[in-house]
Amino acid sequence: MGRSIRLIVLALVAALALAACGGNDEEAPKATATDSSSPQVVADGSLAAGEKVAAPKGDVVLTVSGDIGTANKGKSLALDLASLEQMRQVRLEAAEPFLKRRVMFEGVLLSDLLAVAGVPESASKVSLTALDDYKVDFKLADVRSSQMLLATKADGRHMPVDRSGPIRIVFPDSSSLGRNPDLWIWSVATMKVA
Amino acid sequence: MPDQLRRPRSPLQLALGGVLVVLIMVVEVLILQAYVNVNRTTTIFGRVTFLTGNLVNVQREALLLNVKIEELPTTHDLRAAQVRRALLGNQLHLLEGMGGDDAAVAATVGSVKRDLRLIDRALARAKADPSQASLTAEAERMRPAIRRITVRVKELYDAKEQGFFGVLSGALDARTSSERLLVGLSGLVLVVGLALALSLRQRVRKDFARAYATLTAEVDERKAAERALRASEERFRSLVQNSSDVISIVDADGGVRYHSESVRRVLGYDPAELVDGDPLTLVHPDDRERVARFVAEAALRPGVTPAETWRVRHRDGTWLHSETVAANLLEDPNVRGLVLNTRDVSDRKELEAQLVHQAFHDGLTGLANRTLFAERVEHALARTGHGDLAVLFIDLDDFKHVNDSLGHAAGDQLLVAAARRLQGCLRPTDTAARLGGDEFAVLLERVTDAEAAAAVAGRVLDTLHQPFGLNGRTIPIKASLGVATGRPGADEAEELLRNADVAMYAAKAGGKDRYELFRPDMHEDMLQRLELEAELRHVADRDQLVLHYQPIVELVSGRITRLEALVRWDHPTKGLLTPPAFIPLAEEQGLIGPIGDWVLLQACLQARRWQDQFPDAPPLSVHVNLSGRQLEEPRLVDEVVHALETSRLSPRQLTLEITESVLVSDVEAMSARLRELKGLGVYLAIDDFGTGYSSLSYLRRFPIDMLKIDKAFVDGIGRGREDTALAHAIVKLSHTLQLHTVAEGIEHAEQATHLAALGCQDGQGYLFARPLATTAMTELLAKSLADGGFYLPTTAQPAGSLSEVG
Repeated sequence: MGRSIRLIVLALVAALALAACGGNDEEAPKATATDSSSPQVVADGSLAAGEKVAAPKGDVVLTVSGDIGTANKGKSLALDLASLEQMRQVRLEAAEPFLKRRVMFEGVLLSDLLAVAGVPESASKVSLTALDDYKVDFKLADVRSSQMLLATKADGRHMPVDRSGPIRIVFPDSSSLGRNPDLWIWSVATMKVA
Repeated sequence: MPDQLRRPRSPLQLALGGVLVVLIMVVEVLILQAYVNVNRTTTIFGRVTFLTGNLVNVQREALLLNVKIEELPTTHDLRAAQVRRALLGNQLHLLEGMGGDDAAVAATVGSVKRDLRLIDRALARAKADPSQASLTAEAERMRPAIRRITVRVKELYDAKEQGFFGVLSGALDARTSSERLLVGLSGLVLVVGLALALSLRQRVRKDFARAYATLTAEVDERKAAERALRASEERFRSLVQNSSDVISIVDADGGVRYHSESVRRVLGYDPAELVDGDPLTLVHPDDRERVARFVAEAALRPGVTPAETWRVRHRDGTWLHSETVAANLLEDPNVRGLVLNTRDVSDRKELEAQLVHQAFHDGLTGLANRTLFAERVEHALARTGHGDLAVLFIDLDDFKHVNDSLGHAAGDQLLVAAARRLQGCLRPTDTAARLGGDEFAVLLERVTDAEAAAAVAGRVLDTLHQPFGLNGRTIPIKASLGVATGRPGADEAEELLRNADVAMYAAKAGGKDRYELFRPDMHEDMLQRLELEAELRHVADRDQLVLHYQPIVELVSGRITRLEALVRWDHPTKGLLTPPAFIPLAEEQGLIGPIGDWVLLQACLQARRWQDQFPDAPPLSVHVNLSGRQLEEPRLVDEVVHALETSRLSPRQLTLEITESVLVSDVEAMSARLRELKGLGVYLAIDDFGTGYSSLSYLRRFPIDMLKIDKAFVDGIGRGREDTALAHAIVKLSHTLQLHTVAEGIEHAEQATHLAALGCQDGQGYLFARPLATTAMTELLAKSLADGGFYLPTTAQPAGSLSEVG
C-alpha cells in the first residue's frame, strides 16, 4: 500500500517534470533548471529609478500619468517596448488562468516600473486601463508585496494585441491576488497613479 | 406620435392626449432602464462561468468591432478598428484555449477565424488606400463577415446556455416592484387612452379608430419588450442555476436572502430552510470570525473577492471544506446584495492533506521522514527555555544481509517492526523518523543531560534485541546508535545531526550493536578514517605496498624452511602500517581484492627469485595470508593459478593461511572453496589457532595441512603448569590429526626448547627473526647458508643478539 502510493507520487512528480520540460519553447529550458515559479532577475538593465527617461522612439505601449516624478511627454511618461526592456528584466513562470497552462513570462516588476516613474511614498494606488477599456485598481502596497509583473514577453516572444499583449499584468503562483483572474489585466495601455 | 392625437378639438382632449404622451414616454424609459440593468447584470454574472463569460466577451468585442467598422467611413479611424480586431482575436484565442476539445467551440472558432481573415484583408486594403470611397467599400465588404461572426457566437452562446441551471430569484424579486409600476402605468395608459377615445368618438370616429390602433400597437410593442426582458431574465437565471456550485445572495449585514437549488445536493438542506437564517450557524466555530470578516470586506469594495475556504456543516453533521468567491452587487439595483459562489472542495482538501502527510512521512513505517525530522530538530533548537535536546542516529546492523537472504518483503517487515519498537521506547513529545534505508533517528526533547539520552539509547538497543519472528525464524534486531546532545540557541541543527551521525559511525566502527556518545575527537577519527579510505583505493597501483618476510624455522635444527609474507603499507606520511591498521578497512570497503592479488603474486615471484638465487639450498616455501573476504570470492582460485603460473613456483611451495573464524561463516561454501584450492596442490594452514570460538570438528571437515599455534599459548609455556599443559594438548591434538605444527611468537630460547620437546615441528618469532624487508631477508638467507640449508644459530643464542637484523 505504502509502496504503491509512493509510486503514484513518483509518477506524478515525473509527469509534472516532463510536462514542465515539454511546455517550454526553445528559449525557456535554461530557466527550468532552477525554481522558475518565483521571479528571477535575468538582466539588471540600464534604466533605474531616479534616471531620466528618453522620449519613446517606437510605438508607445504604455502611458503613465498622475502622481509621478519622471515624465517625458507633458506631465506623463510615455514608454515604448524598448524603454521597458531597458529596465531591470525579470523572468517568471506562472500559471496563466485563462489558457490554464504554465507560461514563462518576462518583463518588468510593476514596482520597478513605478520606481522609474518616480512615484512618491505618499501615493496609494494605481489604476490600470486596457485597450478594451477594462480597468483594474491596485493598492501600491499590494503591487510591492505581490511581485506582480508587467510582462512584455511570453515564452520568449513579444505578445501581439491578439495574444493579450503588447503588455500585460501577471502574478507569481505564490501571490494571493493572482488567484483572482479578473486582476490579470491584459493589453494594458495606461496607468494612473493617485 | 400620430398627428391626429396632437390635434384634439377640446381642452379635455388636449389634456388627455398630453397625459397619454407623457405616460407612454415614462413607460418607454422604464422598460429601457430595466433592459439596460438586465444587460449589466448579465455581463457581471457572465464571469460566474468561464466559458459563457468569455462568449459574452467575444460577443461584446465583435459588436464593438462592428461599431468601429461602421464608423470607418466617417471617422477614418483605421487604428481603432485594428485594435478592436486584435482584442477580438485575443478573446477568440482564450475561447479556443478554454473550449479544449469541444467540437462546437472548435467549429465556431474555425468559422470566426475565416471571417476574421476576410476582415484582415479588407483592413489591409483600407490601409493601403485610405480614400473615402475605399473605406466605404471595405466597410461594406466587412459587414457580412462581422454579422456572421456575431450570429455564430450567439448560436454557440445559446447552445451552451442550455447547460446551466438554478434560479437567481432573489435578484428577480427586486424587479417585481418596477414591473408592478410598469403594469400600473400601462393600465393607466389604457384608461387615459380610453377616456381620450371616448371623448373623441362622438366627434371624430375615424380619429378614435386610429388612436385605438396606435394604442394597440403600443401595447404590443410593450409586450414584445417585456418578452425580450423575460428572455434576458431567463438567460441570466440560467447562468447561475446550472452551476453545481451553490449561489447565495447575502445582505451587507450577512443575512441570507437566497440559496440556489444546488444547496440541497451540496449541504443537504432545502434552500427555503436556510433563507432568512444566520449563515454562520453552519460554519465551523473556528472559522466564523474569518467568514464574518470575509463578508464584511466583500461588502466594502465592489468587484470580486479572491477565493476563501472554510468548513461548513452538512445536514448529516459531517464537515465539508467549501471555497467561496463573493461578488459585490450591492450597487446593482436588481440584486442589492453580495453574490456568493460556493463549491465543495473537500476532496481537494483531503488530497492536499494526504499529499502533505506523504511529503513528511515515510510510506513504509509511517514515521517522520528526513525532511520533517530536520525541521523538528531545527524547531526544537530554536525554542529556548525548554531544556536540552538529544538526537539519536540508529543504523540497523547487517540489514543488507536480511534483505539479501530473506528478501525485500521480509526486510520491510523488519523495518516496520523496528520502527514500532523504536516508537515504543519514546515519550509522546519525542520524534522518531526513518531517514531512509535502514537508518532511523530520534529526537528527544527536554533531556537533562547526555546520560539521560544514553539511557534512552540503551533502552532502544534492549527493545530491538527482543527476538523478532520472521518467516519462521527468530531474528534479534541489532543496531548501532550515535547520540549527540544540543542546546537550544547555542547549537546548529545541521551540526547536531552530523554529530549524531559521526557518533553512530563510531559505534559501527567500534564493533556494532552498541551506542556511542558523541565526542569532538570522533570527528578527527572519522576524518582520518575517511582519508585513509580514500588513499587505500589507490594503494595497489601507487606502489605503496611492500612485503616483509618472517622466517619459519625447524625447531630441532634451526633451519629456515619457509617464509611468511607479511604485507605492509608504506604510507607517505604515516610510515609503515601493519595489516590491522588497514586490512579491516579494506575488507569493509571492498578493496581487499586488488591488495590480496598483489600480495599473492609478489610473494610467489619473490619465493621463486630466492629459489633461483640459492639453487643449492632446499627450495624455500612461502606462506601467504588470505582474508575472509578473499575466500568468499570464487575468482580466488583463478588468482592463485595465475600467481603460480606467472612465478613458475611449484604449488607445493605455497601455503595459504586462513584464520579459523573464517571457517565458521558458511561451512558448505568454504569447504568447497578450500577443496578447490587444495586441488591445485597448495598447502592450507590455520592461522592463530586456538583463538576462535569454533568447534574442532572443522579440522576434520576441511582439508587442512598445518596448524599455527597462537602466540597466546606459546607465551604461557614455562610460566605455569596449566599453560604449559594447554600448549602440550594442542601440539598433541595436531599430532593426532596428523597435522604439521608451527608455534608462533617464540621469543625465548626456552620456549623453543620446550616446544621442540613437545614435538612441535616448526617455530616462528622474534627469537629467530623479526619480519624483514626483502633485501634484509636476502642478506640473512645468504649469511645463514651452510650445509645445503639456511641454518640459524637458534636455541644456543639469547634473543637480544638478533636485534641487529630486526
